[in-house]
Amino acid sequence: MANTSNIGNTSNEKLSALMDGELARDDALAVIKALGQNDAQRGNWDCYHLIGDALRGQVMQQPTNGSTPANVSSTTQVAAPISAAVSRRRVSAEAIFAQLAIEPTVFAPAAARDLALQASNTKPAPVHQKTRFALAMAASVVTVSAIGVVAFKQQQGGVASAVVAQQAPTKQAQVLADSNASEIRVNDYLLVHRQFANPGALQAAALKRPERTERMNQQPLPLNERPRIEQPRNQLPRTEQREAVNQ
Amino acid sequence: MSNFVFSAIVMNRSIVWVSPHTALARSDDSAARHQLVTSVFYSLMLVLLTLMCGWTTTAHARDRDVRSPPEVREHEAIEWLERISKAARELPYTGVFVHQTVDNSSTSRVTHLLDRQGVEHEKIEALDGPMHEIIRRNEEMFCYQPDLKVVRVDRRASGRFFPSLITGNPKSVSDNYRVKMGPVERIAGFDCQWLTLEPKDEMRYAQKLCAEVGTGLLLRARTYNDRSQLLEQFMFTQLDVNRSVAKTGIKSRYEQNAQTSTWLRDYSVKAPPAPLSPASSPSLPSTTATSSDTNTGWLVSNLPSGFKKVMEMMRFLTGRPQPVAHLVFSDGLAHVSVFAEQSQLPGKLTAAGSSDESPTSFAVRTVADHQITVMGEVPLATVQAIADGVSRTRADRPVEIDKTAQKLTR
Repeated sequence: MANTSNIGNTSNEKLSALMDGELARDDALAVIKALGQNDAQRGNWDCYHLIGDALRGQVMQQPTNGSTPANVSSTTQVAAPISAAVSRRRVSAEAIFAQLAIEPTVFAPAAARDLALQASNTKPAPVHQKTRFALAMAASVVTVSAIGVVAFKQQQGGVASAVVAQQAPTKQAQVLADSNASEIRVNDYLLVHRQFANPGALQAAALKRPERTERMNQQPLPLNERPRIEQPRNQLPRTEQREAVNQ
Repeated sequence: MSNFVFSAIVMNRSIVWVSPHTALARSDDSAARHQLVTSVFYSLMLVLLTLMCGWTTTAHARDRDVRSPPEVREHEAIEWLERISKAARELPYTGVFVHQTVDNSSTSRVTHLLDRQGVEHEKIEALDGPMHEIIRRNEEMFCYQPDLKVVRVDRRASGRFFPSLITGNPKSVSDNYRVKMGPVERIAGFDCQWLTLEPKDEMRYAQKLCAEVGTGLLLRARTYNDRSQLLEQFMFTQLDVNRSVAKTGIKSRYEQNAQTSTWLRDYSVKAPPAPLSPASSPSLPSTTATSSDTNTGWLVSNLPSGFKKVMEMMRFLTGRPQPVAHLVFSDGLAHVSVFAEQSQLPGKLTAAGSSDESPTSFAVRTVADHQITVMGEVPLATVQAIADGVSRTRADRPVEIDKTAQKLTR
């Protein structure tokens, strides 16, 4: 199982690196070629972008940003296919809820902000970085979800849930490290709805912040583990990337 | 109950009637014979009466018999639902239970008692992860989070709190679920009666409940989707029931040391006094809100069958500039939350999802410039149907809230 997930994560990692414009030219060409031949990878590509679009839309409406949404229409158009993509890719409620679990705003906004500041050790990230965090977070959730499913399918019976139960919280806590809170507006509703019926699970994910060193040692951590570049990203325009896939 | 007693007499008389020869052989005197004849006469009359009054009453009396057909035992199953609901509310108990979903599990300790004034007290302590306590007095909830030094004050509305999972009238539960008796099994050292609740339509999940034979307290509860995949499970791993619970057992350990005086009190539900703005909505049809409910200005019509509104309130969510309307619907077992908040994104938003790994489905749509989020432990079709039925009953702007006073008063 470990092998399976490692392989999957390597290609996913490259995929998301390509998306972020971080991949070296040769690697990028290889991944693009693979995208042309591999339906699953192309699906991941679409899915990552859908989630990214949605999250960016959400980020932009935060009053603190003060900026006017530039791609509101694309965001809203994207919202509908998300539901399809979500169920197709098994991101589904699980992914959203995983993010819910990592969203610390419900508990104490000040504390959450302090944690974020401590971790980044800098001023609050500018808008584009928030966007990127959100994207990375969403993509990680996709990976987590996929791993969980693989584990479950491979091991039938009671053991399966135990395996998944061990994995998922690790990943979720991990995802938290880069979450900047309140990107997804639906998330904290689950906390309200469940009313901490299982406080252990939700709390552990929401409040436990892994140490940076620990996180570096964990495997496999495709998206969050890549070192952050503090300078603004030079993300390719979305249209160019889409065309590249089609070639 | 009277039917039951009556049928039992019939059966006793019948036994006398079918064995007249042995009785005759032993009794020579005429008085005894007269008595026998009288009893035979009464027996016949009673048997006739029974047949006329309806065979079903007799069947009902016998449905405790294991050999009775399943359709007869449905009555017994419904009685069990009532016992389960009553036991969770009235009995003193303390125990440790595990809540399990496909990808997660957590352990909690629950302590419960009903005081002489009829007030339910419950303490739930998280045994996994960070310390966390919930103190409940009837529907009032205090959530202690020592690491953040926060006490959240809330109302029990939509959460599932084991073992009091049956929140509605057990009779109405049986309107929505086919309730059947299952086998008796030994669980956590107790004899446990399984009940199966099969949904009568596709708008809810199947449940299996297992109740302790002696007290009726739930020991285990499972939720399955339509493909019989287990979505969620609660189970006691250790339980003391009917042993007296000390008053200190249902107090927060943090209150006992008076250390919470400096903690933050987070009131997440707006107190439901006067209607929010009655003057602006004189001609609107009143919703089914009870007097303690806030009229949020939202209405859900065409609810899936069996679902009724159980609560309506305005909530403060951290990070939201405006309070959020929260409506809770239930079929007696499953709960669905409807949230409405002013959407800050122009255009329509639509999303929905459910998963084999999570019992909670959700749906999002936009109504009257508000983002509607529906979620609950029900199939996707149900949250979508409920989301489709959401409408605004009031066109006025959301309540103006004094932001300085809205939240987090020390």
